[in-house]
Parts: sequence; structure tokens; C-alpha cells
Amino acid sequence: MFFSAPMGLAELETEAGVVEARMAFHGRPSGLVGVRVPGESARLLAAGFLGEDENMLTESQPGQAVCELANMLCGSLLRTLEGGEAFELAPPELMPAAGAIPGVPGPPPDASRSFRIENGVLTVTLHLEAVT
Amino acid sequence: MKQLVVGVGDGGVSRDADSVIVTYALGSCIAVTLYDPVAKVAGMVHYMLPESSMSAEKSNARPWMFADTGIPLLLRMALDNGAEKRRLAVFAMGGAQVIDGRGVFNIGKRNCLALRKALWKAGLVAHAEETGGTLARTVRMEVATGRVWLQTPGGQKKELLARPPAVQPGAVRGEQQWR
Amino acid sequence: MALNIMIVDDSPVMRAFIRKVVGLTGLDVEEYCEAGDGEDALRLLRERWMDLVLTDINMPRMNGEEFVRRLESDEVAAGHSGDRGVDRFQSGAGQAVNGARSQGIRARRSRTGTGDAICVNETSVSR
Repeated sequence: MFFSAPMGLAELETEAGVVEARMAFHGRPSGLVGVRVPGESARLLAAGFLGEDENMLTESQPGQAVCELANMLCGSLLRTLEGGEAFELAPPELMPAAGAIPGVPGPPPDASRSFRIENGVLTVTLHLEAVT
Repeated sequence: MKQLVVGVGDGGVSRDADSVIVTYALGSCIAVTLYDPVAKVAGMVHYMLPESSMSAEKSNARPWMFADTGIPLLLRMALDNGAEKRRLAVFAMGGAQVIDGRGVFNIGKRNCLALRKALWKAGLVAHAEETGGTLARTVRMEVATGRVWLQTPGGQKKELLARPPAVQPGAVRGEQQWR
Repeated sequence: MALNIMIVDDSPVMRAFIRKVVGLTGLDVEEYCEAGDGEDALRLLRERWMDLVLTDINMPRMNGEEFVRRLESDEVAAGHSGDRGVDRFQSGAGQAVNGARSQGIRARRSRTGTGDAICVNETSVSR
């Protein structure tokens, strides 16, 4: 649906200009799946998804496309990791631009993997809540 | 029977019922054919690369070379020659994984991805497809009928046939495969 | 017969995507109607006749399961009038929606991600 494919693993890139969406899931376990891409890649993904020229996109569409990608990757990841469980899923949320809100950075993810895609790096992160 | 040859990085349309459009040596390249059975308009593009942004100066001079310029151009030319979009049969072939020694994600696969992206953007659906593999293909398309044949080196000539529709008209009440 | 189709999803880009997919099917569509969640969808359905409703399950405010459940109840039919007939719309929607609803729930639990339901107005189908 996004007409993009990973072209190998990559190193995590700097935070400048990235678009990030996170999606919370509740079940056994609970946690967060995050998807992060550079702004340019977000535009390319949105253009592919919508079948539009990049210069025809509205300002919010790249972020919405990354949210949809997070939605799909979250479902796929949970199905792969915990196929027998049922989860409640919160709607994906777009994170504020890096540096827009100063504060203490959150805990590092429990798992993270970056992939080279056309004109950028796509990073998927997984945070798990401790089981009490 | 006249032969209209579409070269590598080339394309065109025809309404000449005595002609066969042919393209050779489809390796990692992809050929897309369009056919309107009512207006009897046939078209073919043989593109080499996925994105015209890869070579700005070439995309203007040679739009047929790229999926993202060649496919919309083929559609436009077919429509300009009397085809109607909703009547078009769309076939695609090629995108073989030719060893290029450079990277794991080779041009054949990228051309296949670019095919889907360009068809989606143009609002077209492929009715038949034979892509991937490792062999180069030759494609022949009869303008009079829209029939398409493929041939691989040392292989039999075989006709590419459209998939039957998943849902038959009038079968709205029928049981549908739930994903 | 040209159809009125409603697309219910909290993501505007997903609604645009689904609209494009429906366009590819060649269906004769008179009107598309979009809603961001079940509550908006119900409000619009009280005002407009729809032949086909495509809904996401996982939405804020009112999710797809709750929306489909309410589609079966009097809420929609009671507010609906017109030459197509209230009674047939209500019972038809109930039959179609039950199937879609149970499949929708199955889809959600098995996929743990995107899940959707399709609601067919059987009154429209039988015409």
C-alpha cells in the first residue's frame, strides 16, 4: 500500500526532521510500537499511499500516512510475536517534532530496528510495559 | 501482419488491426500493455527504471524509460486515441531478477514495485501479470484482438490470460471469502 | 443503479485510500459519504440513505463494533424516511449487519490491528 520496501538494515539516523507515530497496545503484554522516518520519506510514503504527486499533498497527510504505517506494522508485529493473544489498540498518535517540546527524553525502547528505504531510514521501535 | 517494434525504453499505441506490437528481451525491464476492445486501441510501454527522478534530464527526453512517466503517458495516448479508461485491459510482464552484482534489492524487484505504484496512481488495475523469475521475455500483442503472448528463451510461446473476476456480477448475496 | 457509499475511518488518508479502491472496482457510485467515527456515521445515516457502509473497527469515540450494533437497532431507521421505505431498511440492515458484525469482530480479534466491517443495505441489494 506504500509501494516501498526495505533495502537492508541501517544505522539509526539523527532525530532532525523525522516524523514519528506511536501506537499503544493493551493486553499481555502492553506497550508501544513506534515508527519513525525522515520528513522526506514521509512525503514519499504518503504520495505512494494516496496515489498523488508529492507536491499535491496537504501538510497533514505525510503524518497521517506514517500513522497508518504504524497501525499496520503494529498489527503485523503483534500477530507475529503474540499470535494467540487479543489486544486492545489505541489509535496511532503523531509525536511532536523532535525538540519541539523540551523535556526529559523517555526510556529507550526494548527493541529497535532500522531499515534503509528509498531516500531514508525507517525505524521501528517497541516499548514493553513491565508485567506486574 | 505488420510488426510494430517497441524498443527498450520505448512505447506507443496503435489502432492498426493488421499489426502486432512486439518487444524483445524484457529482462529486469517491465512491459505494460493496454487494450480497449471496443475502440480497438492497443498500447505498450517497455520501461527500464522505476523513477524519473533518478535522471532529471532523461525523464523529459525519454519518458518511456521510467515507470512513473511511461505508464501515465501510455494511458494518455490510449485515451487520446479513443480508448476509455474503464474499458481498458491492463497486462504487465517482466521484472526478472537479472544478476547485477550490486545489491540485494535489484532493479527487477524495484521495477515491479514501481509498476504497482504507477498503476495505483493512474487508477488502473492489472488484469494479468507475469513478473519476476530470472528469464528474459519477448511479448507480442495483436492489435485486432488485444491478445498477448509471452515467450522465454528456449520456452514455449504462451498466451497471457486475464484473471477471471473474483466476484461475478449479480453475486452480491453470495458467500465471499473473508480475509 | 448508482450507489451511495459511506466510508467510516478515523484516518483521513485511509478514507481517501478506500475511496480510491472502491473507484477501481468500477462500481457506479452516486455519492461518497465519509465519517471519522461511529458517532458521526450514525448522525449522517439518519440524514442520508446509504447502500453500502465500509467501516473500520478501531476508532475513537465510538468504535466500529458499537457502530454496527447501533446500526441494527431502531436508532438509524427511526430517523430515516423516504421513498425507499423505513421498515425494509431496518430489517435488511439487521440481517446484513449481523453477518458483517460477527465477521468484523472475528477480523479484529484475529488480526490485532486493522479490522473492518462491511455493511450492506439489503434493501438496496434486492432492488
